[in-house]
Amino acid sequence: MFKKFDYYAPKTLAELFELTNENNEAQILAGGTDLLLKLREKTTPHKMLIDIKKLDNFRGIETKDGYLRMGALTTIREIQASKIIREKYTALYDAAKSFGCLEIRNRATIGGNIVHASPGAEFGTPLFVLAAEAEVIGPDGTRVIPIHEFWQDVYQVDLKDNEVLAAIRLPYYEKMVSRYHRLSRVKGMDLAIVGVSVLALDPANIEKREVKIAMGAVARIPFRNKEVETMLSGVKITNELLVSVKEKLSDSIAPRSSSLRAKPAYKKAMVGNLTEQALLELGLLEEGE
Amino acid sequence: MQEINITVNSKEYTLTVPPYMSLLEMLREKLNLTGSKEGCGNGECGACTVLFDGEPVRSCLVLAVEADKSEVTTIEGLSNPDGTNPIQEAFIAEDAVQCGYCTPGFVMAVQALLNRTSEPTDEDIKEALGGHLCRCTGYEAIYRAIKKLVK
Amino acid sequence: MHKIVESLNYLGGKNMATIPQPSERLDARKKTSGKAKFVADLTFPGMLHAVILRSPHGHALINSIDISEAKKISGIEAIITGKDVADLVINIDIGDQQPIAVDKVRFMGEPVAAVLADDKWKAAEAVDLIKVEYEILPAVTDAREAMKEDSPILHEKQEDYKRHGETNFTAGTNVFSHYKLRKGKLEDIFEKADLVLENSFVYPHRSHTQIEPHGAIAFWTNESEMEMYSSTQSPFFVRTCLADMFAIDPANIIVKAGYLGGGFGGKSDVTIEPLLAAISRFVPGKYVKLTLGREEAFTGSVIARGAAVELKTAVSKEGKILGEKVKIYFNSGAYGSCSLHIVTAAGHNSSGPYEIDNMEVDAYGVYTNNPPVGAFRGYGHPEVHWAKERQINLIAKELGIDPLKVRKINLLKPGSINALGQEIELENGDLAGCVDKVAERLGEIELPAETDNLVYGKGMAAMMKSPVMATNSAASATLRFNESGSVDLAVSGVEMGQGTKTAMRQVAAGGLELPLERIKIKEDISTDNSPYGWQTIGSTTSWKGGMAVLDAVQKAIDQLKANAAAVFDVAVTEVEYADNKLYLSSDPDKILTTEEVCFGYMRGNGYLLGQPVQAYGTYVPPELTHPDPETGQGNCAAEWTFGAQGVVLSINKNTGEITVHNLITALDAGKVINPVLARNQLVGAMVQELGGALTEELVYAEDGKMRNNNFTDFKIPTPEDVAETKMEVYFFETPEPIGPFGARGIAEHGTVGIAAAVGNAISDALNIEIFNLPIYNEKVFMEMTKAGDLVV
Ligand SMILES: Cc1cc2nc3c(=O)[nH]c(=O)nc-3n(C[C@H](O)[C@H](O)[C@H](O)COP(=O)(O)OP(=O)(O)OC[C@H]3O[C@@H](n4cnc5c(N)ncnc54)[C@H](O)[C@@H]3O)c2cc1C
Ligand code: FES
Ligand code: FES
Repeated sequence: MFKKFDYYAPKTLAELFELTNENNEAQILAGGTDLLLKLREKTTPHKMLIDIKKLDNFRGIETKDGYLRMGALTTIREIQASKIIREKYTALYDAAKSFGCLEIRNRATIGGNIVHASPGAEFGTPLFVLAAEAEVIGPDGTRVIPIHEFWQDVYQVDLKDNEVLAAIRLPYYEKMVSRYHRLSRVKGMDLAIVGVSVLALDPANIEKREVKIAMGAVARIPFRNKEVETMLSGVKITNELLVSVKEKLSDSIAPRSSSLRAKPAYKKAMVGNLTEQALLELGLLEEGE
Repeated sequence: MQEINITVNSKEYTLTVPPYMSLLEMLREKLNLTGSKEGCGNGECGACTVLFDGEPVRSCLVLAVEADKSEVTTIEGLSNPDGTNPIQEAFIAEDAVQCGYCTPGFVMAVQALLNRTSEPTDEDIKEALGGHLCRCTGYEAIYRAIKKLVK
Repeated sequence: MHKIVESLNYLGGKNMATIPQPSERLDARKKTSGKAKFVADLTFPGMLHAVILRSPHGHALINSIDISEAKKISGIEAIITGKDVADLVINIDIGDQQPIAVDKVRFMGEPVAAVLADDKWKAAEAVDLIKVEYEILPAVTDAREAMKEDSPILHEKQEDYKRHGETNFTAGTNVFSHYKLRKGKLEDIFEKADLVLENSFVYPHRSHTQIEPHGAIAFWTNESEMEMYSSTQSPFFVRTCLADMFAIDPANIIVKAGYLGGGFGGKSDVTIEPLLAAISRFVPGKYVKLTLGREEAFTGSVIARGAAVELKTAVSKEGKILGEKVKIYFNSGAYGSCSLHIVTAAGHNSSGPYEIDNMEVDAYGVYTNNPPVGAFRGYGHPEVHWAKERQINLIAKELGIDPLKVRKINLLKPGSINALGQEIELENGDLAGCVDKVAERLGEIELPAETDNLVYGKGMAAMMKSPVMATNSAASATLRFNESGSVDLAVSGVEMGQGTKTAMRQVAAGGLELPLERIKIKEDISTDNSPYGWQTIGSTTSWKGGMAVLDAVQKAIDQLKANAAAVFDVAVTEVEYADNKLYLSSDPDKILTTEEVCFGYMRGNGYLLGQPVQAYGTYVPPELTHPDPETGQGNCAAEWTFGAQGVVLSINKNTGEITVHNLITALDAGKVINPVLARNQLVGAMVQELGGALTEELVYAEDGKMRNNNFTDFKIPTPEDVAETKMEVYFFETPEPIGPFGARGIAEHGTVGIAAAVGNAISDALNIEIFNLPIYNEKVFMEMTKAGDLVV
């Protein structure tokens, strides 16, 4: 049972901003798979929900000049089904595939996942390595913010009171591969206890190759280890290098010990393994060494 | 209170509902369609699964007002006029039902699967059942029932 | 000493070669079409909704409660706090609990106040406006900690509690029960033994997580007359408990139970019924509904398991167990009644299915600041088998011999005296056969070659289970012939997915030699007119219920014969019944059909011979006694079911992830009444227990707060977890003399040995030893790396 609230479903942006202007406490409702859960608890004072699903502005996956624009209301299921995402932004596809379950994926949106900004959010690490940008819209116009700046802290993103997240922009590179892997406690539906995204630009050209790694559910926000990225970029990735990479990754994180889902030592051990798995699948590990 | 127009199991309704009423509550409490069950209210168990504009959703996490101008199919809407449905027959034949509380959710998930494809792979079946909890059967008979259906 | 009771020989000891088999479960059609009604699906005109304010703290004094703001919400019919019902005590065995906490809360989730309103949202709004001032007390969430001298005490005045019978508590401590078993003498056995092995094992708390949360609807006609619909396994027991609490005649309370969305013990005894009864009494003439949300079902009903078991075992070099000292610390939560007998059952069965000549068992029921523990499928047995069957493997490892050998030289066999002092007889079942069967299957299963990443392991456990129940725990059945020759049957067991109604109909059909379609069985239960049944628990419903049905069948046949004798004008002894017909033994051609006599036989002139046939059958397990207070022995277990279980699994060495490939059970069922239902019960039980083995554990903060009262963080097995698992069930059929057609209980048994078999398989795969459940991936990985087997 939900606690009482009011509900509005504006049909135009103007209506939306009118509502958000008048109601500082109002909450944006997208898929509701995070928000509605909170509304079951006693501690939530929200009195008004503004459903943005009647607005067309936030839908669809389309290529614009030089980037892919994914509306904030894009559902996880749509991401899973998108050919271009599967082929070009594979880490996002991986994240969509391991996300919740089919019924949840049918409702949950990418925008909600980001704005909720939980430490283990599935799309955190893929968007960090993909160098995504958040397109934010408010009464005064549109702002575009790099994802790592937008994603400020646990449950905290850079949205002013009457702004909403309109879309995610993904830069396009000719030669780009990426994977996301996560661990969970059971084989069935579960949240990630730790997740890793690995991306490589120009993967076949060892000298020019750029590797990026981000880890999820290990810190307050998705965490990119630039030192390790440098170690892996522009060189052959041998097993020897991998050993020190794993060690570095493990040393660079200090997950909180109060997590119910896994203890720090396990997460520290697993980030390396997940990284290795992704590197292997991306064909970036040298064989036979 | 808000007025919504909704088609449930091919019947049209105009209903007045509070904004904080879930679709599940609307079905159960307003339309007395109690076949969809609440096992958790948190999207975690699947007992409340219905088809929403043809796609499976957890009706405990959808608001009734969000379903305005939509089409919903519940377990009650699955039976053919003669009261039978191949999925239900398969569940019965394989004894995939014990306490029966999870069953409507599983049946709806399988219906959605068969709407997507008539020849699901093992992976498709696993995806369809994902996030559906049954505490009685150990799932074996449920898998058997689905395999029987698709062969 | 005590002999397991002699055969009762119903129907002349008829052992049905073939019991009629239905093509489907009785209720399957209703359940697959969404038509089956559960308590939450019921509504009544003018029905009120109850919402409960629950303690957010594990242990705290209630200093004040302010309901003034809450009262202002329109539509509120009543707000009830502990003070309003302070005179009510829930006394199942120990009167230590009240429907609403009065001065102090002892677990997170304990009711503190209740609001009744005509709309559930209003009630919830009012609940949020109630202000409670708590004074937080130190909490304890571990049984062994709770037994230490400096532990917080939950119940300061245990000695003041009313009790039904002896409970052996220690006033001024948290120990509310101490079951003691003494067999033989331990004396210098530990000095003389070739090996003494001491280990401590933990089986933590779990939640039953029936997918249907608890629900009930109550209606008081006046102060002393009520009716209640409840999601209960034990309608008659609920009635008894409520009658005791309100000091009214049980006849003035009607409890109704329909389909149950899973029970597993967590809806037996009483859970939410005393609370709802207490609060709805303030609004006589109105229906009041209370259904728990999922979080509430975790904290506001009963939880499961929770035992630490310490074993000190003396063994000869051949592996023969010479003597054993057992200590069991049961973390019973804040109130003791619902786990009192689990403590005893765990004690009875701590020997495992082995003959141990010298034993000392001390099992303690201990109060802690957790929700109260109640019955859960297996009832103390999985807890002690987790310890015992791991210990057997650890003994074998120490001695360097095959664990199967250790099992086999210690197994109970005909002539053995079990821990309770009962002599085991051939008819108790083929334990050795079950053990051999599982060992054989494990031997046959070929494992793929190990890789850098994957290792495989096999493990087994032998097991036994006996139900623990009141010595007067009856089951009953009524059987009534209709004028057409068909039969209306009613039994006392509740249908919760175990298929009891389907099976009882088969027993009646078998006994009467009637086609199944001719027997209608009543599916719901109402205490005012259903045959009496103590509780639907302990895997006893098919066994005891089946005996009651056969008793009714026997009586009905006697009545049919009497009617026929009147028609034939002969002594009743000269009439035989077979194949749904009555005939003269001296002249088998003289035949009357059942149809002709079942309503009495009417002559042409209207003169009636005989009477309509209706029979009441009943069954109470014979000659049960309480355990002797000194030795703990006695005829406390009416039947035993023996078996063995096996597991094949693989482990990903990089992550610790476990995949289960085979789950195997061999069980001596006595007689399988319905092979499909029986197998599916066993499969369901194995998978349920796999959750306990691998992932399920309730986690508490230091202050007693439960941290994972939801499916997101309390992980039960999901479809994907067993997608690759082959389920194997093998039944032996050594007829049980006191079971219907030789059948004995099987519904819980699939749980008993699974956790230990998993633990043993992991030991087999990785040579690491795990003592505390659950064995989740992370734990395996960390143990592996600790063992130096792997580098990170
Ligand atoms: C059963 C279950 C399983 C789940 N499994 C996973 C999982 O595996 N991985 C995972 O990462 N998450 C999981 N989640 C969490 C949740 O589904 C995701 O975080 C989801 O992406 C949230 O999206 P939504 O559209 O439902 O968000 P909502 O609940 O609608 O919104 C979430 C928050 O974002 C705000 N918001 C949403 N959209 C906008 C916008 N465009 N502009 C401004 N603010 C906005 C809302 O106000 C709210 O605060 C699960 C949830 C459930 C119930
Ligand atoms: S009730 Fe909706 S998912 Fe459990
Ligand atoms: S049949 Fe009981 S939960 Fe699935």
